[in-house]
Order: sequence, then C-alpha cells, then structure tokens
Amino acid sequence: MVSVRIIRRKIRTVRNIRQITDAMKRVAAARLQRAQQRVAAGRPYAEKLAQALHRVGAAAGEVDHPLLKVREPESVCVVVVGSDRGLCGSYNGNLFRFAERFIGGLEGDVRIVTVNRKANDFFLKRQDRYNVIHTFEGLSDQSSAAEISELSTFLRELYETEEVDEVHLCYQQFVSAVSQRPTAQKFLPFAAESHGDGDEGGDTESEYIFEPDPRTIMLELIPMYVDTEIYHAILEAAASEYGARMMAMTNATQSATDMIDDLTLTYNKVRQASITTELLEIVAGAEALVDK
Amino acid sequence: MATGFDFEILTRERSVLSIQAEEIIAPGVDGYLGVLAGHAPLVTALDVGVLTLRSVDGDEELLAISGGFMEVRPEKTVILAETAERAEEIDRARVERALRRAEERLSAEDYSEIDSERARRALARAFNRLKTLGS
Repeated sequence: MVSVRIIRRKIRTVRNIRQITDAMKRVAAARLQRAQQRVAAGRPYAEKLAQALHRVGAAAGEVDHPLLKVREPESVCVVVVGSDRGLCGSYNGNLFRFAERFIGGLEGDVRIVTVNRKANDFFLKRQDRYNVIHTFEGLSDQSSAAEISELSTFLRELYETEEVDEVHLCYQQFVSAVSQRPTAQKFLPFAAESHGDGDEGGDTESEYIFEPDPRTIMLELIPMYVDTEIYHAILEAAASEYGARMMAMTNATQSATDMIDDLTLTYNKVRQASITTELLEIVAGAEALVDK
Repeated sequence: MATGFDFEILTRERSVLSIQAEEIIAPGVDGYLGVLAGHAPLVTALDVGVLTLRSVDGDEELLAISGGFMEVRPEKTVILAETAERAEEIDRARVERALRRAEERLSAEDYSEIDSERARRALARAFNRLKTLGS
C-alpha cells in the first residue's frame, strides 16, 4: 500500500497545478473579452467600408484591378493561422488536420504561408510534403493594424505579381466562447459582388461627387477592403484561441478537482487502514500479555 | 452658434473621434478640401496629410491622417483612414526615429525600387506627424 506521506504530497502537487490552470482560465477569459471588444470596435469601419464599396462600385461599373483578376489556379497559396502558445486544447490540432485535408483537396502547386509559431512548427516539420514560402509570428489581437497589414501586404503582392493565382486563409472561426470552427476562406481573387452589401438605400449614386473619379477610388478601396478582411480574420482567430484555451483550462481545473477528491478519499482510506492495523497490533500485543 | 454636422473618423481598430464639426479641411489626393455643413454628397480618396477640424464649440484640432477616404453625406461625414492620430497621441521621439530610419534607407544605394518607395512613404508619414505636432 502507498504511504500516507506520498499521497499527501501528490495532493499538494495537484492542488498547485489546479491553481495554475485556474489562473490561466481567468486570463484567457479576460483576453477573450478584450479580443471581442476589439472586434466590436472595428466593426463600424468594416460596415462603412462595405457600404462605400457597394456605392462606389455601382458608380464605377466594371473596374480592372489586379486583385480582381481571376486566373486559372495553377499555383495556390494557403495561409494557416495558428496560435503562438500552446495549452489551448485541440485548437491547433483540429485546425492543422482541417488544413491538411483542405490542402490535399486542392489542385495545382500549393504554397503555404504560416502564421504564428505553432503553425510554423507544424508545417516546417513537414517540409517534405509542404512548400512553406513564408512564416509570420506574433500576430494576434494584441498586434496593431499596421503589424497585421504586413501580412496582407505580403499576400497582395504575392497575388499581384502573379506568383500565386489564389489565396486561401485557414483559421479557426469564432462561433462562441466555447466553440470554434476551422474554416478555409478564399481571399483572392477578390469577388467584389459578394461583398459590399448593406447599402442603406435612399440616395442614388449619381448624386455623389467623386474625387478623383469612381474608378480611381475603387482601386484604393479594394486593397483597403482586403486588408480589413484579413485583419478581422486574425482577430477572430485570436478570439477563438482564447475561447479554446479557456475551455481547455476549465476542463483541466475540473480534472484536477476530481483528482484531488479521489486522492483525498484514498488518503483517508490508507490513513484509516494504518490506524486500524496499529490498533490491531496494540490489542494483539496486549492480549498476548494478558494470556501469560 | 454656427451650424455643424456629424463627423466621425474611423480606423480599422477603433473610432478615433466623433463630434459635431463646423468645418473640416481634409487632405484629398487632389489637394486639400474643406467641408462645411450642407456640402454636396462626395466621396474622395485621401492622401497622407493633416486634417484640420473645427468643432461647433470653436475648438480647433489637428490630426495626422495617412490614406483612406472620406464620404460626405447629408446626415453625416465619415473618414475611413488607414491611420489617424490626434496630436496628443503622437509620440515625438518615435516619429523622429522613424524619420531618421527612412532617411538612412533613402541614402543607402543598394536599395531596390520597392524599398525606396516604401522608405519615401514612411518619410512622408513621419513628416506629416511632425507637422501635426506643429514643428
């Protein structure tokens, strides 16, 4: 039988671990809230931009922008957005499994861009199968819009120089604090007609003065819109990560509590057993004396 | 009190400012343009530059804008900016560092076309921020 001392030590260890996981859970919950606030803070911009795109787009008619050009997908770029830190349950594992399946289903020459350390590690370790052309690190809800635009600028240049013919983004979509869904979204070529809805209506476009002409403005708006979409995807991925970590740490804390309960029960049993044995020994000893 | 109009500046990250303005002067790509209440509906692309803003209370404020565009509508005028900073948010030391860095890059000869273009833009942004600070 295990000694009482060893069990007591184990209980203490588990209790310490529980304290850590509980703290991590709280941190993740606070971060999640902040990430959600950032998403909310950026929403008016995104909505206005979508409306403007719609309105200007209607006035500009057909525009010719390198980001709109649809090419035969001979070479495809897949961006995988993971997390920088671990201890977030199956967040990265699920995403990479999804990404591998998604990449497997693509035709043509696939090039990978990975974002954040876990994704970098995963795909760099499998370079025999995947052609990783660039890695980014440290992009989360803590990054400024300028830092995130480095990624979007890189992707836009990749597309504009016809290095790749399509750009897909793989990330964990934020469904709720307790659930994330791995998704792949096609970012480029940019499909203007599928965006820019939500016009309030009322005024007709012809009333507007455009300076310079609508086409030129449209050419400015398209990259802005693409950047905004990538910015939001990164924020969403970060929010998902915090949600996943919160869940993982809640579960860990719960398991620690269960384990402490089990150990305490065993501890009491062992203690009881040892007392009983000791008593028996004393009684037996006393009786032996009486018999004489 | 002068008649004002609703004015808001948004960036990707946040709403920088939302006030009742009397007049704004914005850095359009074809030169600075002023907007008063009752301006005709307008959409214009913006350049790197200083935005001057006078509120209905008569307060004047300068903001450093880099790119984006402005939409003037009867009920509201909105600027969607790449970046927008109020004068008090600008860190002078940081701007001066950026300025020096850009100048160094431009004076280096082995720079490619793209890099020097980037440095030129960084230089313009840094100058603009300094101008907003009033120096």
